[in-house]
Amino acid sequence: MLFHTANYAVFLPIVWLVYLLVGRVSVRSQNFLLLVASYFFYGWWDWRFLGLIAFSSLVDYVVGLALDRARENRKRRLILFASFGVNLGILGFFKYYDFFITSLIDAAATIGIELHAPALRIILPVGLSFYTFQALTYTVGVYRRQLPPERDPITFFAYVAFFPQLVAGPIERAAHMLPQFNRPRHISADDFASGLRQITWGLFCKLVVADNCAIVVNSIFDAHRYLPGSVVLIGAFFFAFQIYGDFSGYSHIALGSARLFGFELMQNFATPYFSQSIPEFWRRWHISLSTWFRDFVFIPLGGSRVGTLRYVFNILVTFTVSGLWHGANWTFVIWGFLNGLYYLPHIVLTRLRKPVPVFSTTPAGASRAIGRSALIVVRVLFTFFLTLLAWIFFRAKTVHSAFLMVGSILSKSLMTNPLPLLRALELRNSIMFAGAAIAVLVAVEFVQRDKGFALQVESRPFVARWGAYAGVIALILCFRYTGSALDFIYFQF
Amino acid sequence: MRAHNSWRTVIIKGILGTVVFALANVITYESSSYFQRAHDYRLVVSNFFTRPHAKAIFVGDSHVAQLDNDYLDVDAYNVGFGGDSLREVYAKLRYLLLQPNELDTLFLTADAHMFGTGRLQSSNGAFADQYLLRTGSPYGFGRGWLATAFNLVPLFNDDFVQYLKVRLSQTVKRTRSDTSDEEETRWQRLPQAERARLAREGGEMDHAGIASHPEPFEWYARIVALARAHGLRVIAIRYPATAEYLESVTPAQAAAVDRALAAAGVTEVLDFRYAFSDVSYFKDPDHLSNRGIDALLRLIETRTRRKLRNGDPLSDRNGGGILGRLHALVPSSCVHLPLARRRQVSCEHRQTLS
Repeated sequence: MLFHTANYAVFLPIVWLVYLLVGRVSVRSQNFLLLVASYFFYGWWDWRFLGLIAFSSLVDYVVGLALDRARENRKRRLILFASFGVNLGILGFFKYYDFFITSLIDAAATIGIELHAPALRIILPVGLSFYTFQALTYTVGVYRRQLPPERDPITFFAYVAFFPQLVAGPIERAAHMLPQFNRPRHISADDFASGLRQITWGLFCKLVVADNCAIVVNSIFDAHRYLPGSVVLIGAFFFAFQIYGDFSGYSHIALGSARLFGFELMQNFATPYFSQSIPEFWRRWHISLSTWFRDFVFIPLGGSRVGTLRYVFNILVTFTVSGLWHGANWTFVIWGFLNGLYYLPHIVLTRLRKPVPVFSTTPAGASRAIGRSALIVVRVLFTFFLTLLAWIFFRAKTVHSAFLMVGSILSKSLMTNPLPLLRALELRNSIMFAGAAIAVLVAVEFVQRDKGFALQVESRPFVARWGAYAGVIALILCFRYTGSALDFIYFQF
Repeated sequence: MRAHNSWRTVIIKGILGTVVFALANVITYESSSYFQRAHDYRLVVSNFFTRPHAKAIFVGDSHVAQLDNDYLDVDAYNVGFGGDSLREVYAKLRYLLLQPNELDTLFLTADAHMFGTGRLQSSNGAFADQYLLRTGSPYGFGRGWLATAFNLVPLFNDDFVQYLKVRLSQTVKRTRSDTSDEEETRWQRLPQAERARLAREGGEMDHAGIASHPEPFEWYARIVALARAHGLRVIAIRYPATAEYLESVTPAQAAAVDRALAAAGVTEVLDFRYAFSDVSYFKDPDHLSNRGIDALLRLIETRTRRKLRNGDPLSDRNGGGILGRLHALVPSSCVHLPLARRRQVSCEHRQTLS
């Protein structure tokens, strides 16, 4: 079930009302309702994979209890690895089997060896990467004795399958979520209103920004071979906002929906395109995944408290694995590696004890000196340009296509007038609407950059507050994308 | 200062929001020309019941709709509407056949362009949704019946949003389209070479992708099956167009359409594609002038041996025909105007009366 469909618009209020009613009985009955609703939500897409999520949950539930019972470290480690084996085995089979097999065959072919192995063309279950990683935070947490094992299977199964964040995150930590499942939830009127506001903003990001950008992006990326650098750059620019609107939109709807049920999920995006450096960007983009990789890959590898070469290695490995997590394609691997490379100047500067200055972007700070503001703008634009180049690898179908596109952007064809070609591609209207949507997004997010989400306007004057609500709702109603419903991009991961 | 909510204020705001939303929907519905078109669309369907004894029904797009009901005898009715795809044809026919009726013949369009990619989606899609919903159709809900039901709310209507966007971009570009009346006279006065060029361009656009998707064929088979299930005789008609317009249909595409018709069990096909060659029969490359319409109806009458034409299209014999009413209301010089212009006058007159 997609968040921006009529089905969800009916599903959500029904579940919410029943949730309030069963709340009079017990927290456990509410958890049971959430479990049933979550399985219904997930099964709407493909009921056959419900068995997979139930199996994954069962394994981690049993592992949690076993870890608690085991006293010896060796035994505990074995149990943990068993959990890793099952969870990552499922993930590896469904997500990476075909990728590794075809990569192996291709690699063997380059050295003249002909291999034959069946590609299974397996359907990737929606959200598998997300709920697998979320479940792992539980087993690792119990192993590290950071949280007690969950003894109630209903609570645990509901935690793994919690529908607002089941298919595309945020990837929640068990230590943050399980206590919320175990205590009575108080839903205040303020939280309810805030949840609705965040859902509204999420719908704007998805339906108005991302989906309108998708029209431009699809046309340009499909025809990139015949287009000059200037048009390809425009395609990459719109993709940067498509993926941001799409994924942040999903996250906002997830957070808003969860808040309606009395849950507080972690913030997943914090106006990342206002970042002044790549490290800052990664602190503000897909925060739940970035921190997951920091805690479960980067730090176990040694983190930053090692020699410079090892630090560089840790960063590159973490980013490359993060790229591979996104999808079984070399384009994602290169995207991750490229972001790791972008990080290296920061490492060099910090090792030379010259920390990268990050200027305040608050109006007070910015107004102190025009030169300083200009520098901030330059840094923001440069960071955005670097991410934009990396996004090309993320979106391109093949590595070859991505290199062709980057090459055309860095060639003389960047100076070509794009307007005749945009007209020929019949994209002028789409660019007008998508461009206007991006302008609204950037403007509102800039004004509200210190808030959790852009429509968090409770402290604004009455007119500004209601003007913002009316404006955003009007934009959703009048300028949303209206073709066949587009999936959220991150569903494929 | 931070605004705080109590449940009471949330409920009050919710009620107010609902009222405002409902009002916005009413205003949108009443003021938008898109919903005026939706209203006209529904009127064409509902006016079928003003001819309770109609035996024959015409369905299709603008090629069919040009046979205005005022030209037709009381025994026939035309629910064709410009822009309809076969999905809309099915929806309307399904709705009408499930109401009490005396229909025995279906005149179904068999124009090749109805099987092209341009008719995979129709701008009238949302207008026809209600007929699919009301009849519990097993087909036609691409995004599910719930989404289709949401589409009935004006501000949730995707086609309306699309219309708004087009209007806005037209406003930005400051473009305007000619009225059909201007179009008719302008097209006829063009040099032959220019007319041929326009016809070829239009034909290539309309006939793109014929037989490249299975959906139109599936809809066609459903329409025929539906008609047969209600005991209707199905007569397929290929409507006249200029030779240049029809040039772009390849023999392979024409054969594919023929096969689809045969597979659906359609054996009676009236082929009038090349019936007229004189420019005076056309108001544009693929639509007939008043003269052409009259000639076409005569041809269909001859071939089917049934009366279809209203004896005097300007009389009020049908007891409600626009032209009949017009005859009584407007100066006699006015009724010799082309049909589109007459409609306009009629509309203006009705507005004056109201």
